[in-house]
Amino acid sequence: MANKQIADQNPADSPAAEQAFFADPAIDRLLGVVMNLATEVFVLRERCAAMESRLVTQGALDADELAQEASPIEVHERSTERQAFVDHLLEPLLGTQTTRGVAHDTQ
Amino acid sequence: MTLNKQVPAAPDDRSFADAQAFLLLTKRYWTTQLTPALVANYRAGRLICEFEPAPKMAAPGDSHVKVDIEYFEWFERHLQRAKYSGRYGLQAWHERDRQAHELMLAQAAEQALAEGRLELDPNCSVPEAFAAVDIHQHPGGVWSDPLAGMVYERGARSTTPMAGQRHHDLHDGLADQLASDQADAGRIVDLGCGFGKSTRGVYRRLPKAEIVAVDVAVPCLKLGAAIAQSDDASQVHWRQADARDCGEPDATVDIVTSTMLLHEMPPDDLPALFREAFRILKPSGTMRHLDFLPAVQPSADDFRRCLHLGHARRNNEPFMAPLLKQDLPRLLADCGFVDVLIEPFAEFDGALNPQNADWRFPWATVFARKPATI
Repeated sequence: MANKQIADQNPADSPAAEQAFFADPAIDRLLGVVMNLATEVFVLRERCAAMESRLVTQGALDADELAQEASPIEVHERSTERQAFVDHLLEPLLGTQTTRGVAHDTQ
Repeated sequence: MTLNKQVPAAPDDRSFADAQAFLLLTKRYWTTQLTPALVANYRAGRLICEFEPAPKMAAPGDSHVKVDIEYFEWFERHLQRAKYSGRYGLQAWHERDRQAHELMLAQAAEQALAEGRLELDPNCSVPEAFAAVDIHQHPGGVWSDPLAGMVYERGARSTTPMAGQRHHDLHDGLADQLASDQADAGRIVDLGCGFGKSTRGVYRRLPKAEIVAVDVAVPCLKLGAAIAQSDDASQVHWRQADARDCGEPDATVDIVTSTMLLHEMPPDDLPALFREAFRILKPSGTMRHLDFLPAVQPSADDFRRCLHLGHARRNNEPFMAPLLKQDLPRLLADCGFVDVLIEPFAEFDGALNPQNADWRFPWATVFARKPATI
């Protein structure tokens, strides 16, 4: 095959199946999602740290106060959002459909 | 080339750098924790290595070790994939500033061409075997996109995960050996120079030598010329050519060198490469290649061989395994070389300690000399 032809092939048009390493290839894909999430968490944590540092430097934030355990009032104000986060995160564990349709064949 | 249409929008510089740092930290964990776990399992007889029909680590009857292997292999493949591809990959980040990058490269190339430091050959094509696979999971390879050299340069900073900011040490170490081979070398040819990471080590260590850096990949040559320009290294000439036909006159070169070239060539091409080196070397001239050869390592065993062969598959290195089957001393002798010496190369202090259970490339040098008289 000529070089130009090879170069002009867009992998997205005919991507090869990714290599799989686990007995169940579903784990391969799931781990990819987990690692992407972990990357986002790392990026977010670093950005939060950078923001906190700048805010402390500018006197807009008391670092010691921020490090304190959240007050009951603060926890109460955040409770709905905190629970929603956990519910959303763990909802797939139920393994139930969100629309009416054909049920999973357990045979 | 239609590669760009699938590159996702890039993040800001901080997010990109943090994501790449996360990948490198994960790679270090893989290097220093997951790999030693496999080593321990191998030494305890819980992990075996099979080579037929394909290299494979296995743990018969031990599901715990089997999972260790699965995670190890998955991370090897996907940490490299994430380094280059995806939202935080090198490809997307460079794509964001494509126009500015291309302008910089074009201006540097224009100046280098005008000054005769860069020589491009429109008739030189990338060997088909090299072009057929995106080696080391670099999307589009190191040759097809104008920014490929820049992407490769950034990626090469973390090729040796434990090196950190000292990732140049490896190349400086090779330059030290070249200087030891011939401190007064007047002309050196660096075959398959890429963007010149090793070339840079050579021109810094041997500043009086004229250096010809040869590669087929124009994006890499342009970047190498730009870096050399910023280093005021006007003694380096960057040439687009196939290493098997590098354009140097007969018997005019003191040293021929390469870094990570042998394992990126089909084995059938190696005799032509060595014959070309022999042709251009002066009598008593020396040749030294830096590459990967697990068999000469102090820690050589079936496990390390299997690890290396598995890496070849997981990292898109089609010629890494065939290189191990080559009888290099015989090939070199057939070309007329003498004083052949193939030995391990320590990329950092202590790297060759057989007790080192961390992952590392099996770095080795292939040295030979052209006889004084033929």
